[in-house]
Amino acid sequence: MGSVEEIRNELKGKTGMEESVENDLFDSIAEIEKKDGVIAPLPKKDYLLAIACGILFGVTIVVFQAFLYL
Amino acid sequence: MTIQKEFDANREAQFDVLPVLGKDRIYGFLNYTYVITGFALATWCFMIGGSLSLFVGFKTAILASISGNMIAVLLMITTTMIPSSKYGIDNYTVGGSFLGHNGTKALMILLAIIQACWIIVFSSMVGRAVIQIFINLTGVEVKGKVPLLILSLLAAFAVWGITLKGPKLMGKLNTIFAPVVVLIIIGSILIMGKKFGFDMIFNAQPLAPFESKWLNFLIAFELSLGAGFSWWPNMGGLGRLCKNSRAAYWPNILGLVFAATLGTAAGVAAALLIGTTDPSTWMIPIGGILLGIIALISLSMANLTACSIITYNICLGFKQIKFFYKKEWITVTGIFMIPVLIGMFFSTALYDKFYIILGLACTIYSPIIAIQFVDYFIFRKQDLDLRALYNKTEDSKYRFWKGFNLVAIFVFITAIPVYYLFLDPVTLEYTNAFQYITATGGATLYSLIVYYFLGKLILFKKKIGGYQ
Repeated sequence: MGSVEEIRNELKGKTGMEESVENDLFDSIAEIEKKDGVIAPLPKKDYLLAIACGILFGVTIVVFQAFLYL
Repeated sequence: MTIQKEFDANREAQFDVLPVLGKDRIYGFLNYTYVITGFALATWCFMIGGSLSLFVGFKTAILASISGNMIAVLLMITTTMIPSSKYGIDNYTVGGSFLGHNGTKALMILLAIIQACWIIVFSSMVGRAVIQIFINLTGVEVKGKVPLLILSLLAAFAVWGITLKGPKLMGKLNTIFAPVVVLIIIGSILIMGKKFGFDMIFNAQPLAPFESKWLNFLIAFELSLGAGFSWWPNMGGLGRLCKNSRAAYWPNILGLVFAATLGTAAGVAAALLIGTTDPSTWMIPIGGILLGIIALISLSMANLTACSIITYNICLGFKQIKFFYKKEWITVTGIFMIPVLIGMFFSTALYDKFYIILGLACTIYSPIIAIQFVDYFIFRKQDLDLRALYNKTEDSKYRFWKGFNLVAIFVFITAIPVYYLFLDPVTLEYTNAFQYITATGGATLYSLIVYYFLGKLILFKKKIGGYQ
């Protein structure tokens, strides 16, 4: 993570944006890098729940239909 | 006063690309659920339901819709909402990390073609709705293709006009007509149940099925995958506005899977009962003259609003491309409208075979999502370099080969004929393999495996693309 100045030195004129918008961008990047993201990541158990949803409401239905029709 | 002074598209496009920080985020779990459900329960539900009714009956359509949308939406939101909500950036900005900056622009132009197809179909629906209203009010038959063509073109011009005004007018129209469509969907289910009986709905036969029931289910499942994937262009823009990761993730399941299935169910039931996949012909037989006409007018306004939002989003994306940056908003939107207006002359073919758009969505989005998944979760381990994403010059880490990740582009291009090895999305001709893995399954697996191995062999070994 770096300071706004460091980011400005690295990116100024390279983003294709107007100067006033670029300055907002540098401030935002500095803040995001400080915290490694704007929000906390999705908890790992949510990924497990997602997989469970995919199996229960996705794969199971397809398998059920396969047994029914094949 | 020029249009540019009322709505500054350049400024809007620039600010649209900035990361959204925590203090500026507006969606918690509940209000994002409301928003995404409003998007999901829209007129496309009727078209999707109509397409499913060709192949399967009501109960099987619900099962296909839930299963197809669930798998597609889970894959789609995992690859889009997670990075977009973490960094506050939209999907096209994230795209720089796995396609390269110029690769993303090329994809944007390809996606514009699909978005143009949606606008052609919904503008055509407006034209057809107006014709239905005219016929039922006057008793005069409307013959030939010219009246529909003229009305559809007028609808497309109306879309252009709304888009020119910018987001404020679209927001106002959406606030009025989005809830009205939800009421129409719920109301139509209740009226159909009361008027025809749910037994009749459950026992109604599909309109043009194949002989094999398994194949019919698979086609309906494949089209539902397409419906779920079709949300890809829109998601990042929403994810970056969510206050936390759970708010960015789970409401999509409620909205894009279950609420969308409710809407699709209304479309399936209506198509099965009336015997046609054209939603403009359902409303009056179902609701009677007065309610039917009110529904048709409301759906038409909702269609115009939805089409203008699609046009606005894609044209705002174009504004980030150098060629379009200095062009006035009317010119940028006008350039996008050219293929739409030309396509209107062929709208009947697209409207009557709406499932083509869903099939195309599978063909294009499934490899993109697979590539994005491997790149973000496996190669980059959920860590993007924002400086590299916004650095559009030669020294960006994400420069790849002159702004193109040729490995990803190779996988994407070759995944399209792989899809065709299983199913032709236009003619629905299929091979035996389709019956075991589906075309989307085949194309997705191909993209996952080939991008992983080629990425390791080329991108990592040659140290291209900023991979560690």
